[in-house]
Amino acid sequence: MKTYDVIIVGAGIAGAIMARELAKAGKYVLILEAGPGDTSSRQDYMSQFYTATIKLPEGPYPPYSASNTDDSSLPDKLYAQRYTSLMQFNWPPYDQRGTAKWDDGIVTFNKYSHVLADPDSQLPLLSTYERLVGGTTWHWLGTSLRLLPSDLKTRTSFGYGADWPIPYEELSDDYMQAEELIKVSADKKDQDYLGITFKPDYQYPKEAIVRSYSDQQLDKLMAGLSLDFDGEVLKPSVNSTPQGRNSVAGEGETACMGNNSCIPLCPIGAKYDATRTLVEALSLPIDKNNTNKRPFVELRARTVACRLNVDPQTNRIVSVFAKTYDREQSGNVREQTLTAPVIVVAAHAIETVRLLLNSKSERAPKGVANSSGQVGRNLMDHIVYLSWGRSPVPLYPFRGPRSTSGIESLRDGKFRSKHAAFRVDIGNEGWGWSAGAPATTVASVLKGDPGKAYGSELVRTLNDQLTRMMRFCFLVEQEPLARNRVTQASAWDGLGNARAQVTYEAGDYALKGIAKAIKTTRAIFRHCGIEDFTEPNLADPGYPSVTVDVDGAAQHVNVYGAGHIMGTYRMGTDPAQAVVNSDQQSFDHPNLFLLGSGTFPTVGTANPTLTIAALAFRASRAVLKQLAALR
Amino acid sequence: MQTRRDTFLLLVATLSGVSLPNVTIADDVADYLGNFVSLADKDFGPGQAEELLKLFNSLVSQGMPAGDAVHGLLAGRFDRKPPPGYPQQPYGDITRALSLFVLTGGWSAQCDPEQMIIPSSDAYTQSLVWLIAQAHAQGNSNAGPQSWGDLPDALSTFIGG
Repeated sequence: MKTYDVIIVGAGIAGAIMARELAKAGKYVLILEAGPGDTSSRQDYMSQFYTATIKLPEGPYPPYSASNTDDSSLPDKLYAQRYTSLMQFNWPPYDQRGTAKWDDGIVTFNKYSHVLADPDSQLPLLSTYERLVGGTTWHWLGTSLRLLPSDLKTRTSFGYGADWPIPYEELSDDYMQAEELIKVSADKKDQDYLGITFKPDYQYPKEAIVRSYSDQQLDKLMAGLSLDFDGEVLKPSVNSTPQGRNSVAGEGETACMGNNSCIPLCPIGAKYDATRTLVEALSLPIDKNNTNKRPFVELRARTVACRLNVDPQTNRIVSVFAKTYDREQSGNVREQTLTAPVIVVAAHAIETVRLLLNSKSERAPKGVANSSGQVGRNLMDHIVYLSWGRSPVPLYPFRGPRSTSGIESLRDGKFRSKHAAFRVDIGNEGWGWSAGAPATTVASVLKGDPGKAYGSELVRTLNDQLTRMMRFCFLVEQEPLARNRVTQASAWDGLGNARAQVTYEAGDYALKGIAKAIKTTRAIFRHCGIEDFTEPNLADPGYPSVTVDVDGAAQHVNVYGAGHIMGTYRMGTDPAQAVVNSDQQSFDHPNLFLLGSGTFPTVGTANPTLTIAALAFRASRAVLKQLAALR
Repeated sequence: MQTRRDTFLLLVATLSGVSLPNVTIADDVADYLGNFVSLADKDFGPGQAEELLKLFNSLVSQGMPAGDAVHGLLAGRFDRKPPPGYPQQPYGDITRALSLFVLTGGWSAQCDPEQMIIPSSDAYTQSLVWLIAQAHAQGNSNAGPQSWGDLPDALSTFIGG
């Protein structure tokens, strides 16, 4: 019988890094991944993308969206459904905001989605994640920003949240490893702001991705603009974004061709995804140090970890009960109980919680790793506010990576003691996300004056409209709220595991940040001569909305998720207030490590993947240390 | 002698404002004609797509400028009663649906983006609106690395003279 040093649940970026680091040190690793594992499926995924009329982040990936609209594929039948944004959002809180009701008056939430919403929830969870080998890095944008030093000290500096238990200098060291792994393309001098510093001899692995023509024009238009942030004067400078995509080709690497489809999928693999790291880990040579003459890393796809078993005497995790399936539903299921000295769960901020809560036992009555009662709590995202307009000059969007620059200078300031900070992702896909362009633009022109809906007049109209489109995406920091949480639902998946239920709201801190985002948009647009086309969709109950106070006037705005699900098993120094320590090690079970953005005590304004990777390197050292001690 | 495909390509080029050679290249890959006939038959009634092509060919053959013929079609000047059970109007609605289809790759008899279906990957990647935007379909870039930092080529390079 094979033995393993470590079992890792989840084959996303955190699990992949952990596997690679352990295997490099000669440890035997078994990775369990709930979803499928055919890494040669990129073209199949692209076909799904091309033929999808709404280009959702999860659209290209199995289980495919099309099957989700068939009642035979509802989540209680599927073995490893993942969260989908093909949801029905209508429920009572929306009526209070003037949002229309569905014609048939249903108040169903999320009929086709795996995660349920608590009826008291003010918002649906707005972000999605993947369950397949490579995880959510299949559909990430590639943004590889570091957190700011102040992001780790929000309790001390601004009076909210909880400080991170890691000195920023230590995180910086692991950021360098993460950037090397992802092969981040960036220029150090563009990233040296708001307290981020680099060692003098440090260089990013690849030169920066060139800023889009659109970015450059907007930067010029914004010249000389100052913004008042509660008495602080901030200048909205446009910085190039560090990106997990290849600015130049390397050995076995393709350079980014600007396909503009980074979310949900890079067609040529120029954007990093965790399958790269997994392939590396799986192909580590069986050398003379490998006494068992077998690969160091074994990957079992379509295998769902259902329960962690706790030894009542030692409180250690002794085994993982898992089920392997052969089809998405109604197939063969094989049960297995797997053991290893160390267990790592890296299944994202929802699925990790689900596994912990589904592992209740006499020894762990609130669930594994949950003596503090904090598992599932403090669910956070970056709440997205979109604004869009028509530039006075052509910007030529729909080219390049979906975003090449951001306004980063608004990520920090004393104002954070009053309202959330944000960064602004500047889009290169026109009004694609915000308003469905170009299809909606075409349809609008075709339905207009027939004399202008064909030939050269059609070309002139469409070209004028499409080339001047610009879009801002404000990623608004959300504070940790204990009531925002993931719990066990009274509903099951096709394998008989309880599904997750979410209770979620934006919170006052973020709502005030959104109000500031609205005012910031207005100031920038006014300065730049951009015609504001931002229009909330309140008529369609499929668009979640919130109400914010903008200078005394109530304003309804649509909000979206950034895909950054965080905070549900936070790290800290106090076992009564946190789930894991700074090494991502459970306070309750010394041989259990929980990876991923669920450990973030606060979220700052950086997209989380680089930090997830950095923390995975830190945790891998702790696991190796523990394995060495076990000998 | 105009073949059926020649008629279709001229109709699409006149509708979209994209040159005949560029429309031909797109149709070679995406078979917009075959898809159009199949989709239109389903939504507008059997034979309605062919009727449209015949009508357009007849108008042009009689000396009407192609642009005037297309304008008349879109304006409903040649509309007639739809077949029983088919609510959409030949020929205004069908011409508008065809235009949406070749421009975006998405078919909707109502010209409604929320009702569209995209019948094939090629229908999306070859769709003509991207040329008019001086860009490329998402996930189908032939531009070189870092080219997005510069002005795109002139519009005429994309849509043809």
